[in-house]
Amino acid sequence: MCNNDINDGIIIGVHGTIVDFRFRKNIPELHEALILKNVIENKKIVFETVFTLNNLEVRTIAMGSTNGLRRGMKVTRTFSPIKVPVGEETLGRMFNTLGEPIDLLENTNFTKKKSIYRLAPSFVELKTKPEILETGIKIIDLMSPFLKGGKIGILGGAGIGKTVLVRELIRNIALIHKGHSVFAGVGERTREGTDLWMEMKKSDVIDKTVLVFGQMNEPPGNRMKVVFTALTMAEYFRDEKHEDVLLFIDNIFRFAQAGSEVSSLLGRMPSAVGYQPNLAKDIGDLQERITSTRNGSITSVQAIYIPADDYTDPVPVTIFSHLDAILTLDRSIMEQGRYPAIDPLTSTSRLLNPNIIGMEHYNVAMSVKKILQRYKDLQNIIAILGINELSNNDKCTVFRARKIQQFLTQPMFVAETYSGFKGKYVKIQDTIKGFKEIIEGKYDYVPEQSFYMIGSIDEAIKENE
Amino acid sequence: MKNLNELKNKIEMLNNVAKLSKATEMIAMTRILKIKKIVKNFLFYKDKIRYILQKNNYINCCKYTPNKIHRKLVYIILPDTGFCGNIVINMLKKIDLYLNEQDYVILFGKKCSKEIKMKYNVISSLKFGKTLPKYNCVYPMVKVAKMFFFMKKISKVTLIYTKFSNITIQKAYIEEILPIKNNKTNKYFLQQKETLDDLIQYYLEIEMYNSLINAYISEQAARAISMYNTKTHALEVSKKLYKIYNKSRQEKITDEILDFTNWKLNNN
Repeated sequence: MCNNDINDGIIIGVHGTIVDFRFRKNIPELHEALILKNVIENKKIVFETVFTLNNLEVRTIAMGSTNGLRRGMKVTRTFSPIKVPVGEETLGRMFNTLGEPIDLLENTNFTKKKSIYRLAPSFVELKTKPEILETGIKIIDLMSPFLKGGKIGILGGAGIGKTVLVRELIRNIALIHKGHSVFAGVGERTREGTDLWMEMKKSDVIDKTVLVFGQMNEPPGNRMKVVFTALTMAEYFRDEKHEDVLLFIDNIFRFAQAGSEVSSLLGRMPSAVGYQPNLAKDIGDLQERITSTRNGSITSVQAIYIPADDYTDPVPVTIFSHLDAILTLDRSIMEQGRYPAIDPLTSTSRLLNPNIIGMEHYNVAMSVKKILQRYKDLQNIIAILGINELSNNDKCTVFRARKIQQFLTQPMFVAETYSGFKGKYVKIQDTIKGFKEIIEGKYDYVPEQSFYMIGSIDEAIKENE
Repeated sequence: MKNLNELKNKIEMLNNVAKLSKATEMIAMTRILKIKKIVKNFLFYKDKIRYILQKNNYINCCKYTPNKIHRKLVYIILPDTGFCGNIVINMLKKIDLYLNEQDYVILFGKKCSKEIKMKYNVISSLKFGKTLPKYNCVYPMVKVAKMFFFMKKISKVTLIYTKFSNITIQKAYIEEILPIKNNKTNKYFLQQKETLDDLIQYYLEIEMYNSLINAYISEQAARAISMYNTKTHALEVSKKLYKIYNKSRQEKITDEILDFTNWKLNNN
């Protein structure tokens, strides 16, 4: 080794995004960041230590392209893990995995920085009493209430209103709960990140949000660690500012996928379906940090891709075990112009329990589900024989179900320019009252169109008067 | 390992079968619910008429007494379409036990009509239809029955149909409607003999319409049950196949990955 600095190392092997280094004396610690300055391209590449090969050699994951690397190149130790900016300075900004701003704005010096690795809050710090996070969106608050500090999975393909829903949640959390949101784009299309950035600017929620992206054009190391970057930023608002923070992860499956890509290159024996053998630990380490403490909470909304629609795939199975609620977005609902396109029959929540949400809320939610399920069954008959073939009770169920379906729609503040409807925030009490009265038949005389794209039930009555 | 595409196609096919059977089951159930009330009211009326006829003073007059001809007029009521469980088989068993080759047969329903026509003396064959037959369709039936019986061409008029007990039980049933079995204790004393003729007309109409209603509701009940079973089995098999499909998919990927790993280990 021709290196004089005792803390510098040299490249001894490059296997795609995995790079091996040899050090003279002290090898770096686990998760320590190493920096290689590529003089030719005038770029720096960060590596993260994953494990030691022997007393002098370590194996690392590159957080950037390894093109042009060769044996003998020099790397410098940083004596700390990757640190990313946190605090108010990050609001309204867009970062990459390493915490570097990628929005081409002027301020690039951030005073507060934190390591992306930390332990999950201990048991004594956790808040044990479950509490509902009011979103102001009727269908969510009624059918799939969010747990403060909980994890919510969103199932559904691209282009069915996921982004609008996310932006509305960010807006409502910011204005009603005075909280901030962090968005992590993991392994999805780069275009989606740009679209989100532009749309957030338009709907004036960008200054309440931090955006972090490690999209599909980036190496697996970046895609894997971007979630931790976003989580670190969210944790600051929870622990230091005592806020209720929303953390959006789009898409959590890509995190596990990136992990499996890295795992094979690291030389680990693959487990079932080619995933990393420590899949449960990887996901567990991340999910355990997303929780509600005595100071504040991080509520996480995670989009989940189901590979080949196989719900028994190890990744969805592992993720589902951590979730508190599931929202299913349905394309057929969107095609009928019913927004948000959440399927009330397949969406559920751990909070749908009379001991947590109260008997009234529980009964109303279950009755809505029952009526909609019956309507779904009756649709086959209506399609074949027509509605006149139904018994009077079934006819009544159909009419009420259609009103419920319309009342489940809601105009969004962030979509006012597209929909032409003024956004509405509905409190949980008003939501429950509205659905309860529809089920009881109090509004059987009101035409179903009056329930479309409104906030509370009073609007339907006013319109009818 | 099964062919994944083949499995996927099978799953899709089974799901379609389940969907279709569910729709058919629900249609049948709705029809049953709709006519259940009619049946209840009708049965009460029918029993009352029969009771009056059995216990009146003119019923023993020669016109309505049994004759010695060994021929019967039999109305057989079968469904037009399939998917209604064992109804047809049970009916055929009953028919074979009861009918003679020289008996006159009037057949309702298309199901197994060819077989019955080949074996028995079918004088008329009619469609049953997909909805509940209207009341006026019994007039020609009654006319033929009265004509054959009063002209002494036959000794009995019989209905063979499926009797509805409840949604799970329907039995093939033979009902002899003429001659009327007399109860010796007369309770009703009619002043004119003609009143009895009118009553007989009513009685035959109601008996025949009752058989049609029973056949119809039994068909719907049997269809609902058989479609429910089809749906349940299709979904069960589809669920099993879906598990096999997922397992095969995962096995395939795991095998490929293991092959790569083994190759790498051997080359190192």
